[in-house]
Amino acid sequence: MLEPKRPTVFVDRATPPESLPRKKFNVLLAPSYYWIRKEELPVKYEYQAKSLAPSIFDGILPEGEYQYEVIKSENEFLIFAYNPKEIIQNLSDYGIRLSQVNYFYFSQVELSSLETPLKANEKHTLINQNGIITAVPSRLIQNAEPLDDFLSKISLSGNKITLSRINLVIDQKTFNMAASVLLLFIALYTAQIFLIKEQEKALLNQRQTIFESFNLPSTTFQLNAIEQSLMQREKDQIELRNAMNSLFNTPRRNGEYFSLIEYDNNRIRFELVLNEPRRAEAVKNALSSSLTFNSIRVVGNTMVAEARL
Amino acid sequence: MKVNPLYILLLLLAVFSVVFYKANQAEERFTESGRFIFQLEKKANTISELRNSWQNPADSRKKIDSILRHPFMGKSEINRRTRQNKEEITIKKVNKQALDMLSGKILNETLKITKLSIVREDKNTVTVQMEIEL
Repeated sequence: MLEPKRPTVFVDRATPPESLPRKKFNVLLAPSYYWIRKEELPVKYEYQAKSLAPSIFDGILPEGEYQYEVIKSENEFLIFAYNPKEIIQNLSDYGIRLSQVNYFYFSQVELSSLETPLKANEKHTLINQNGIITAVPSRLIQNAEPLDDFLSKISLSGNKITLSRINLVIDQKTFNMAASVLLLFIALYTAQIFLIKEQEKALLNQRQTIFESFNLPSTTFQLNAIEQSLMQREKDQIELRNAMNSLFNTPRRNGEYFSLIEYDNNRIRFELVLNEPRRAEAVKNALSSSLTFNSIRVVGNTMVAEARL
Repeated sequence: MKVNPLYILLLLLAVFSVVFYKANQAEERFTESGRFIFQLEKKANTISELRNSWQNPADSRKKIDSILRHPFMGKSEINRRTRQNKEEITIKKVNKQALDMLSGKILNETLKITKLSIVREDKNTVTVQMEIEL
């Protein structure tokens, strides 16, 4: 999809733009914002030339942090050096926010075919001087065409740059380090996920083995039910054992005996023949710690009792 | 088009966050599975031990055989009947010595006694009836 054509505003270091469009616009940087070198370099590609750019401008540029842009033109490389911080600051002084700017373009690139002078503003007129676009005082040039008219007629090239404050926050070295650390951790955690997945498979096999070797039902509910039932069985038998022990160890006097002991469904019924009926109270007291009596009767000399375990 | 390095870092950070979250999730899931397996194994061992003790028909029969064949039971009349998963045993003329042995063994073995009845026959003997679940 074609991007709608945005207005282009020429921005000069010395003169603020007369007016600014309301919508987003492109900024054409005046020659005063950048340094340019045309070089024949022993490299083939722009990115290779870009790596050489700092040394090409070594000793030429004023103090500051620069970024470089390289455009290949036949056998030569056009190498630009610019100070983004300075440009952003200058734009800010003119009341231009970065959010208003679509892209930045170099006058050198966009006006390379310039034949007649273009009046940029009251102070500066742009001319093509041996292939280099240069700003000269307007008073020296007569009959220059207005730059705005020229810009409205041309289409901008693809050689644009973006500037943002965040670009200035992070340098290449920091970026490399941060990216490496993040990549390393991403790799480590990804590896961890795969290792855990493998171990999970092993656990799943182990789970299956347990179910098969112990012949267990598949649901936890059934498993708990079986366990509860077996534990209840054990509990019942231990209680029966304790109750019978208590009965067998009931303090009896000579001639006293059990004529019946019955156990069914967690209930115990017994008949104890006593020497005298009032002995029933003593027997009851002796057994009450291990049995919960439901009923006690004394029929003649026989104590008939029913108790729960 | 040149991509802002900060965007790349932000993307890497987002990827890192996702991977970190996923790794933590996987670790939590794994720990939970490990805990489940540990509990399952523990429960399986408990069930296995309980089954061996309380739900082992062959072993229960062996124990009952051993009790009923005890020399003290020689003078008793033993009537034994198996119904579905239950053993119904009636032993008549059980003397004191045999009763002591019987009560000691039956109550101390891992047998599921569902019914028990001891009825005095005369001064020296009792009749013991019991139902044991196999």
